[in-house]
Amino acid sequence: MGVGRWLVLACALVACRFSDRDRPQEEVAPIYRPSPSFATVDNPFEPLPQNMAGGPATELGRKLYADTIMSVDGSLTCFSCHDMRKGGTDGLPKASVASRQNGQINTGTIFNLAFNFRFNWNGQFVTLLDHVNGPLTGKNIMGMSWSELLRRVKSSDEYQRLFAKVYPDGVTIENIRHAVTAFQLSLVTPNAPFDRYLRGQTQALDAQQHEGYHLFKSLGCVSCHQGINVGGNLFAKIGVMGEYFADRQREGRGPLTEADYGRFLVTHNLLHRYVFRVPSLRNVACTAPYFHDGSLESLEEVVVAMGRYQLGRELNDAEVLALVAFLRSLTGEHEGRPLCSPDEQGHS
Amino acid sequence: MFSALRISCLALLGAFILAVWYSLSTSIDTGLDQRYRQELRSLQVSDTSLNNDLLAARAGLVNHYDDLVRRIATLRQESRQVSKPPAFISGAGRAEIREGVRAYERVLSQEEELIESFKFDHAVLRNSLRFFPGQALALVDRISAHAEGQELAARVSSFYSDVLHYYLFSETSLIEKVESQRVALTTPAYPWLAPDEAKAIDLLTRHARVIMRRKPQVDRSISRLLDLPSAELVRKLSELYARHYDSAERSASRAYLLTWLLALASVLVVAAWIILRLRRSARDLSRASAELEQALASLGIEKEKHKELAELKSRFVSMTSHEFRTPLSVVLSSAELLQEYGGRWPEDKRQTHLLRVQNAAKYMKQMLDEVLLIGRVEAGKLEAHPQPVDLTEFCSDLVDTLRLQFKEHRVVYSADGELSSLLIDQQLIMHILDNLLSNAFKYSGPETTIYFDVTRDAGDIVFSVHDEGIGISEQDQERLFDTFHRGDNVGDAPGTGLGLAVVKRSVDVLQGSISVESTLGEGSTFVVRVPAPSADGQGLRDSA
Ligand code: HEC
Ligand code: HEC
Repeated sequence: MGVGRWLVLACALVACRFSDRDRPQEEVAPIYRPSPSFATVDNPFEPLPQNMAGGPATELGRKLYADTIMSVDGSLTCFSCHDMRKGGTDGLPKASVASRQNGQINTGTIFNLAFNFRFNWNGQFVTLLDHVNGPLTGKNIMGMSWSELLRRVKSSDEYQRLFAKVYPDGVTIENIRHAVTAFQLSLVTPNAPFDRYLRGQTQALDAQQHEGYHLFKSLGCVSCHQGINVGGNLFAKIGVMGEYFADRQREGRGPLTEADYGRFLVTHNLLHRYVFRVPSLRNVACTAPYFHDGSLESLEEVVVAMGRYQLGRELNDAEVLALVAFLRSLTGEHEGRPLCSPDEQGHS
Repeated sequence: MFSALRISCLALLGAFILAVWYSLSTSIDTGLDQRYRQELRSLQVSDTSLNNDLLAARAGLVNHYDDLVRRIATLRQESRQVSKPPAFISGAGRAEIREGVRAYERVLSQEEELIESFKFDHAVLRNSLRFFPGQALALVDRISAHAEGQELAARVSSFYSDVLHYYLFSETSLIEKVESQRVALTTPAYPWLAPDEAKAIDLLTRHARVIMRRKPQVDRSISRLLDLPSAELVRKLSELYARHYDSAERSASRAYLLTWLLALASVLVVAAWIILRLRRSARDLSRASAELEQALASLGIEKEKHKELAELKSRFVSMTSHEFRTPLSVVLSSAELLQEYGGRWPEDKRQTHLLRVQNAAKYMKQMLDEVLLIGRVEAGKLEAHPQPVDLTEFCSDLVDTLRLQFKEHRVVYSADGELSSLLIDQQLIMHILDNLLSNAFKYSGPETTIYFDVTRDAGDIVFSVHDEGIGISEQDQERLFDTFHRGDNVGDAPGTGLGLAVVKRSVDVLQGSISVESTLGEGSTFVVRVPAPSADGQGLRDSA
């Protein structure tokens, strides 16, 4: 007498009710919390975690990173400008590739991104997930659109299979974004001599580096470059104590460009002119040239500039050498080997 | 009524299912509630911790920003979580909570911006503070070494102490003084100074400026941060949730109650339906069993009738074979004698035998008539057809006829009352009186008297026939009116055993009564009373 139908309907309704629970969302950017707090009043640093192994999404992200389908004309991969042998950068003052116009800004490293609080020199992106938009759709970078990328990835049987293995819903924009981000988060370079020193191996730093570390703190570099990433956790103006851009132009290293406005381009607040994310100094020896404008080739120049424009001091040669020696102790390991050999880069 | 009941049953069932669904969807998932409360609590804890961090920063205890950065990231994550209140909270409630979270996030963004400026100002301030005292003291030493340097050294040293004083105690009165000192120091008025000393003074004043500018900025950032109502917003959020939780609980219990009431109603209706059906079928059953019983009973009656009929038949057969044999043998013998000797016999002897044949045939015809009559009575086909009759004449005719038949008996006949015009079935009265009277004659010896009285009693006619004959035993009286029953003492007297049966049936048809009083060897009295309205009244007109 239709009761059966009613019951089926009831069951369906009830089932509906239980199935529309929110699916738990995988957290892509877990907030890193060090287990013993290394940072103390006189030591505002922490060593990098030694084990940040990624999951299956990481491998998928690596594959996407190395695939030319990511660029509109199929000429570039993400690795084209983020070379693992060049500290995750392109080694150029400003990113420029044959097929692209001259770049606007120096290429950032893709290592230790997990410990940066904002992304890009001007801090445009708050999360790494959002940041994927930047290089992918950037006119000077991949020049892609998400819909086109989705179409391309979907038309590949191999990607279909790989995505299906990792994600229940297969190929989606969100999942592509997630895989790329997962790969980027896995790029951590532990075991730098400085980290070993922080963990208690005092002999991991030589005498000059010890001296450099001391200067780094006593001179006040540590006010900006501190924390687990030795930077990457605050915004600062370039030229606190001097006219950086005026001097640059005078020295013939280039006139003021739009990119020099820094954070102003994001917030349009005049106080944010020339303000940049303080870069992480980890692996800094491997990522020459330096600064957002890529205008300085050697670490020595950079240290002098930092002393002059940020601290308002003229550093002497001994101080500079000691500081540079200390900066070299920040080179960590990738896949078990130092990211770059100590004398490979960072020299004039 | 049945289908209405069924429809309401279905409607109730539907309502019940909807209510179950509603109650499920409003029901409080305590797991979700616990989780959400936990999320609110951790948001509250993180928010308080952020304030502690800021207090530590104001106290100058902050030397790296990872904690602040992580705290903010945690707060963002937690507020995102809190913006998804559990589904059992009403839609409006969820919207209100989400609005509350948005308000909190707006404050969080403000906090973040203030923290950003704090971080930078703090960094720069610390650097200058790190540099300024040593630089100032060294400068004072170098300047004092000059012969004319005492005054300048004193100014630098007072500048130094004023700047530090301002930094340590935020004495705003010092701002103007420091500024004028700084301007004075940067004005090149000391030609005796070495170039690097002049540069050092310049650097010192620049760092002093940084301290004087950044110090109030840091303080302002921190106090504005501490003034932001983030803690209050989180508290409000908790209150909001608690309020909506309560109302969700109320509506859940309402839904629960509704469900139970509907369930109860459903059960009641279904029970009523079942009971009604049961009662209906019980009634059907009892009716059916009554019918069955009736059928069985009537079957029994039929059977009884059948038996009677069979008995009747066999009695009829034996009676006829016996009763018809005598007249038939009379007919046969007289017919043989007439054939053999008829030619030689005198006329009168021939006549005697012919008469005997005639009588026998008459007798048989009468018997057949009576049997047929009984048959009609039994079949219920005998009906009264009242007609106006002059009963006095009718009775005296009857008596006269019988007198001729039974010449040895005396008959005393009396009629009393108005009998000349009565409405009565003549045929039935004839059957009754003929049988009663001829019985009276037949079963009483010669020279006895038969009394026949007809009287009128109210609307009835009462016939009374009294004889002085053999009488009827009490045993026989019981079965007196049964068909083919004849008394034990009837001897050779001819009879069918049908006469009194015919009488009784006729009386019944006339709706009258018959009674008998009799003593063996002394005689019998039959009294018949039948209703007989006068023919002058209504009855006569009816029949006309
Ligand atoms: C044409 C060269 C080029 C290519 C190709 C390129 N990038 Fe970059 N990448 C840059 C430049 C330039 C920056 C610095 C941009 C900035 O800070 O404004 C950068 C920065 C980054 C950063 C670091 C941001 C930070 O905050 O430090 C990440 C992560 C990144 N790119 C990811 C990618 C990914 C993913 C791809 C592939 C889809 C890619 N890049 C392809 C040039 C390139
Ligand atoms: C007030 C904050 C501040 C202080 C103090 C500071 N820096 Fe920097 N540092 C920055 C900023 C901002 C940049 C990025 C500038 C740019 O890209 O234009 C930077 C960049 C650098 C770089 C180049 C990194 C790269 O990848 O391009 C190095 C190396 C460096 N700083 C070292 C130092 C040293 C050594 C000191 C101390 C002598 C120091 N900094 C003091 C803010 C500071």
